[in-house]
Amino acid sequence: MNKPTVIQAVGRAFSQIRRYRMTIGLLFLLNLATSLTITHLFRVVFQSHAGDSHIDELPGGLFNGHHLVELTQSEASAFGVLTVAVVIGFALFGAAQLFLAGGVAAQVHLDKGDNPRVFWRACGFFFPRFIRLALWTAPLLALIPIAVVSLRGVLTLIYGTNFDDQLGMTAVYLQMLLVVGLLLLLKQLFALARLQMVRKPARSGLQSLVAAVMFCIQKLPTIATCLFLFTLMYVLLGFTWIECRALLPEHGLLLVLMHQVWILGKKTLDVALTHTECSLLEHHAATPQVRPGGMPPMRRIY
Amino acid sequence: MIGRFTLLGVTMLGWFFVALPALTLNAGEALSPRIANYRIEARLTPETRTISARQYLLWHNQSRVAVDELQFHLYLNAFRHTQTTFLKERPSSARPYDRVWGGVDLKTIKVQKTRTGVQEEVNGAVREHIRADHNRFDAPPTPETLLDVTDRQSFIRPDDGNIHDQTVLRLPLPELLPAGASIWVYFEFEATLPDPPIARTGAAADYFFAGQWFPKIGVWQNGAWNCHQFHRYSEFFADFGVYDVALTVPANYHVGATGRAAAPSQDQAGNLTYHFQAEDVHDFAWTASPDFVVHEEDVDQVHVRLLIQPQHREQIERHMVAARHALRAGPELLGPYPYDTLTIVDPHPEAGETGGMEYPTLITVGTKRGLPKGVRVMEATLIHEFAHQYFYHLVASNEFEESWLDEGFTSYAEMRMMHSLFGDTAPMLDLFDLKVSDQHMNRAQLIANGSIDAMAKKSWEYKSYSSYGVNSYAKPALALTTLERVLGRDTFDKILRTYVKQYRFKHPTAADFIVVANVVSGRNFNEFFDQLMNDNGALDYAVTDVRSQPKPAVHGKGLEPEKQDNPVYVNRVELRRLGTFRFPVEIELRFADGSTKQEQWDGRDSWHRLEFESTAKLESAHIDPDYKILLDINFTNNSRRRTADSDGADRLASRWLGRWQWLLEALAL
Repeated sequence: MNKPTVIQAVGRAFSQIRRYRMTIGLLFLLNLATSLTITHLFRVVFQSHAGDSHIDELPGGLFNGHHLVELTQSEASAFGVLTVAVVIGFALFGAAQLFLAGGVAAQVHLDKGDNPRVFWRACGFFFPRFIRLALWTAPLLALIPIAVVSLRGVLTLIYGTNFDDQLGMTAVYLQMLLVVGLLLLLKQLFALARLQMVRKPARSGLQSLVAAVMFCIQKLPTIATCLFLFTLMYVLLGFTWIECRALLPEHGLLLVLMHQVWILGKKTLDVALTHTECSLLEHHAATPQVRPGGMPPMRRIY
Repeated sequence: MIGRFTLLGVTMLGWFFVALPALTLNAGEALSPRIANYRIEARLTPETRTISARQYLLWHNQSRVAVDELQFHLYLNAFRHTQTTFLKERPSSARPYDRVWGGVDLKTIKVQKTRTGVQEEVNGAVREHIRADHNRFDAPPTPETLLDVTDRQSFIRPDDGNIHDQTVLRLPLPELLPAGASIWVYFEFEATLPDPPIARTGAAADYFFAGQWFPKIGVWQNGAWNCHQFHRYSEFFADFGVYDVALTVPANYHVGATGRAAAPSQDQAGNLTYHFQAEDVHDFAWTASPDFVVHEEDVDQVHVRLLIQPQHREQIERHMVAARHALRAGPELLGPYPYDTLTIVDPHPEAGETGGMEYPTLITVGTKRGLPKGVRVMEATLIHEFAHQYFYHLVASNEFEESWLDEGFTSYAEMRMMHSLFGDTAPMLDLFDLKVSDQHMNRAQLIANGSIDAMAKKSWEYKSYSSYGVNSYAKPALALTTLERVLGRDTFDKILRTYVKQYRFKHPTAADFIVVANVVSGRNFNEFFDQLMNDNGALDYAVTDVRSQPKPAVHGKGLEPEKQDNPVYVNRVELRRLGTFRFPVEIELRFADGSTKQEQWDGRDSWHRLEFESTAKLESAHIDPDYKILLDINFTNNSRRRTADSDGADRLASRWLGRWQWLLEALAL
């Protein structure tokens, strides 16, 4: 009996991951560069305000309440500029992610490991297409408030109009879980749509999105299992971070280095997930479709 | 001899008149001068948000001057329409559409006669006998025996002349009320609670909160009425007395009120009547709702009753933790809590306006479902409102004219109790890196709004609500904390306890507290309080320059070069007073070899220079190194290093780099 497809795909993804070191490194460097830039900007503001003061000796260092109160009052305009810089930084990061996503998807589709030439050409080729794909995907965000309202309706049917009173915080947690869950699912749908587009570049954004939705519908157990496995892995990564964080110093180089280890770990999981999804898509595309009416599959006779 | 007896007789007569209200009132020992005593029968009609009531007021003229009129607060009339003084001062307080407007409609006013009608001629003059004062609180006269004065009422506007404002009622008496006499005043009225609530009172859904809902007599003080209009930023001022209030509500309603209640009685329609009694209080508020979850518990000698919304029932223990701490820490700090009951009310979510308020033995709080344990706004509010039982209630200062005397002292007491419950670092907010104490929040207000107004203003004279807030709450609380740190906790606590003990059940002013502070501490704080209350200038001391250089060799005729085994440094430190508030400060000088040196400066001049030699290089200077002077609006410039140090910023950057990385990962595709 053959192994289940999902486990095979996951296993293969992790066995191949070492071939994508450049890709993982590039994604990691993008994250590091953006974070360093934002952190440096804040560091400059804090240092210029309190660099020659003893205020950092209060509990909490430069983040103690008294200093924060004074800093936000005296550097209000600087914080305004910083806020804009952070927003722009995040926006540029998002755009850069989308740009690099083309190269990542193309490499895992080819399944030949890192190939800088292919990577950068794919990045440039797919970037505008991915933007259009994102525009087609964005309206799906409206599903989130609809889902929340539906959930509240269901809770009202079961518990009456005062379900808040009866369920207390459970009602709130359910709604939060729904919102976060839907956001993650939409993110994965977008990832699948990108892979569909890379597999068949002639497809438009809408066609790729539809293909991704059809894939999810047709292979729901498969994709659900895949996402469940990777969710476990992400949770485990987060759990180790939380547990180890308590053992690490409050600040310093060791803390910074350990953070990089976890970010690298997450990037590895991200690329592995993309590789797995690509494998599942390829497997789904390669599997012959059963013709309606119970007729045996058509065979091409060359 | 005769003179001594005369003196004794006058003294005894004086004590008799002082004790007379107590003798004619309840058997319980009077803790206060029971000047304004109310018997009220009220019925709540939930559908119309109205309270129909009959009220008997027994008022004592304990002054030495006869009174020819009475003045009453009709606070609910501030919510009659948008042209009242209250709503003109802050239109955003009430949306003008789709609401029930509030108000008090007086149907009947009657007063007791002060003359008997019997005349006699004395020394050629005709005098009418004055009624002998046998008034007893437990024996009110029937309305038929009283004089109807409904037509004599008029509204006055002593503060701003706004002809549309009806929050002060003037009632000329048909006859003078002599000094030492008492009078019954009878009202029939209907109070309408605004829906949704406005400023502490009103109705929402099945929840009702009745605060300042009845005709409340002003304070006769120094030969005149102290009876202000209701302003957006003002609170209340009244005399102590006894309250005996019967509240009739639908049977399924839970009721909470000032004082204690006996078991309710039921009428033929099935409504329940709760009979509340409270002695030595100066206000009466109550709440009713069928939705309350009721939790009762005895904390030491005090019966605590928590009326909480059903969706907040998981926070019952959180409320009780704060309440238990307040009931123990409050008396420890400020003296005995003289009542045996405390009711805590959690308002309906749509009636947040009624939350965060204090009444005698009843406080309102407010919370949110799922409030994280590290966010202690609810606990701070509960403790704050409990502290008001001391400042506002026991020490009954005038909240109209000196709002800081109750809010500032209460905020200070709240800080103390929150710190003793949750620690000094983060009593208000302890969430990840954010550790916020009430001192941080008060300083934030002071820095942002402290320069707008001086503290000593009538509450409605501040420029804005922010100015009212900082001058009533934050600035006085910080000032008291500064005094505490400068004098030492033991001495300051002695000042506080002396003030509370001396002015319990009285109406003190700021001057009274300053006298207590000076006498108990043995120091003169007049200049400090003068600056604090009458000036809006900031307190800000800064170190502007720190220099330390090797002592240069001396050259010239007649000068021998000094032989130095150890290097000597010439040091200079410049200090500036950047604000107008003058306060003596301590300075700590740190040297490269780890040693320190203390200096003093009286802080009067706008600058001060320290020049001295040392064997170690001077590294830094720090004004107020122990951060005692919380009124200082800038702690950062209090210290200066000779050379800048980036350790603090580097530590912060190393903590936050990882956080930004994880935040960015939320956008990772």
